[in-house]
Amino acid sequence: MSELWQLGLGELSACVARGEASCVEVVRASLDRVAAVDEQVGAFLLLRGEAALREASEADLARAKGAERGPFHGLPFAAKDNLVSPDLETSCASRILRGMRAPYEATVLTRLREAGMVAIGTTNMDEFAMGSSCENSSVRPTCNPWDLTRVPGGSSGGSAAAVAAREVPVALGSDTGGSIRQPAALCGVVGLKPTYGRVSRYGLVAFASSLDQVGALTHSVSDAALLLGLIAGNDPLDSTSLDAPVPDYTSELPGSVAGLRVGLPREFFVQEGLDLGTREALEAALATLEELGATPVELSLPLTEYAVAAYYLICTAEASSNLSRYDGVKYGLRVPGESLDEMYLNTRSSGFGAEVKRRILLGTFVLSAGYYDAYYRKAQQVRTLVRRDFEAAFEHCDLIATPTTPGPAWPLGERVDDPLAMYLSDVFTVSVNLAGLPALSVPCGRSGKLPVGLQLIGRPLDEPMLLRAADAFLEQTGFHRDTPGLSGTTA
Amino acid sequence: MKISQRLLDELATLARLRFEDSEREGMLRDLEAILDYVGKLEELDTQEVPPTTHLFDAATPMREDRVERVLPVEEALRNAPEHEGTALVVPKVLE
Repeated sequence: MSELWQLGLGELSACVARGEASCVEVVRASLDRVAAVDEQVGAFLLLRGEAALREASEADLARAKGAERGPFHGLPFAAKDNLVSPDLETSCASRILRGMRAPYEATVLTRLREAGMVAIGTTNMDEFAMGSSCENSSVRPTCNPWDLTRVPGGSSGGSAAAVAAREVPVALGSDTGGSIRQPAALCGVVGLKPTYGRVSRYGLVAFASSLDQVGALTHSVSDAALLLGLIAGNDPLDSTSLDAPVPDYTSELPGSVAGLRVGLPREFFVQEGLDLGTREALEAALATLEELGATPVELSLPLTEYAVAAYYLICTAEASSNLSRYDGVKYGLRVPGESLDEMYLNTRSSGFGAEVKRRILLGTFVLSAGYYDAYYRKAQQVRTLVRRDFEAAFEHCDLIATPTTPGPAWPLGERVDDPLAMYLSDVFTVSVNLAGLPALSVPCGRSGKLPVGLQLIGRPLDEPMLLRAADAFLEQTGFHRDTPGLSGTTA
Repeated sequence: MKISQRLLDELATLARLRFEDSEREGMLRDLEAILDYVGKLEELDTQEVPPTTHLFDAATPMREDRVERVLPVEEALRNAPEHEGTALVVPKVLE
């Protein structure tokens, strides 16, 4: 029989319902697993050990009285360090926010807690979600559980690594240009970025508000469906959240791809620099989808090669505006100065890391007088073209399948001195955010010993289709059951 | 695109950031490399293309104008590096 820490959310829920384990045992198993492996992995920034066990014990009492808040009452999750709560310190892995405890709570956290779930801690990330490797954390880099000398991806690298190392059954992340899907691919877990507006952004620390979306990192597609069902829906506190009904995502499962037309954009497969192992894993995955009854449709997304450029202009512009709030006055770090202006300068220059400063500077440039039309406005026009590209593609297919990344996890340190090379690792994920579409990454095999991700992209609000197809694929192949052989296991 | 030292200073001032001499060369080099790369957008004819302002055509949500829970001042000030009574303290602004 599996150990408790090896189980996913749905399995744990069934286990507790059958009386085979208590919530305290489940949460303790998770905390023990963190204690055994996280010194190596470095996924967590903060742990709520005692508070989490207390909440689990209250859940056990409620369950004994038949007063449970639902099937997930007392079960653990982890949150990326950019979701605020009065119960958690939130730093976005930045020096400028260290120790900040917001007086209000992110809607996604409130929803999970209303379902009775227990936050065991916060996970590491690239500072303010700016990065693709988790190395831009001001605390420490997170290591890939499959190979501790490699990056876990980013920016939700802590959440992906925690789920891959089976430290926690599910974790929340955020995805602005691939920050859920890319680390999910590099760590061999399931990562779901919902449609823009499907999930409330209230209490998600803003990076690029027109691109940011909260989503889930999980062992399985069914857990992603469960978690999305809990966090999705309109929120009066986020006026960009969509007012569309939330379907029962689990009703799509077990999934099937029979009769689905799967679009294969040639730009994602002829890319120079597509790693050979990744290409082979992808070709095998596409063959599997076809065996399961899907029809491949070759198509073109000609704007693909321009997406990274448009993305980095738009996200840095929005970031330069959003991050102006960190001024040493209202919260976070203050480095004193003789005048107000000097205090701003001292605080921001010492509080932000190099990549954050680089992006603020670039964003300030593209929004400044004389450059706005040539850069920012141009990028927003290209964004319109990218959206049209997808609309045209979806006239010929039901979903689109691509590699999530051009290659597997790379060695720690390899790209830290080359920001442009780091940006280009997002080439397959950013266009989805520009168009606001839902997409997920599922493990689809290995390149050498390292996991490879298959990305599925859907029409707006068509998460049910994505979940159905992804579930059928994983049920057939079982790739989601592969786990890294971390040596802390028996500790 | 070439970025001059003066433009770097202007941007840093606008963004309230200061760069040490040791950081300036790297920052200039990175910005120039990124701007050269994004210059590829010029290959696209966008003359007739409207810029994206919103992803989905949702109407602005309306609500009743009524008082709801407001954040108590003490809670709002809890994270402030320095405060006095109900005010945030900053260095002197007026001479």
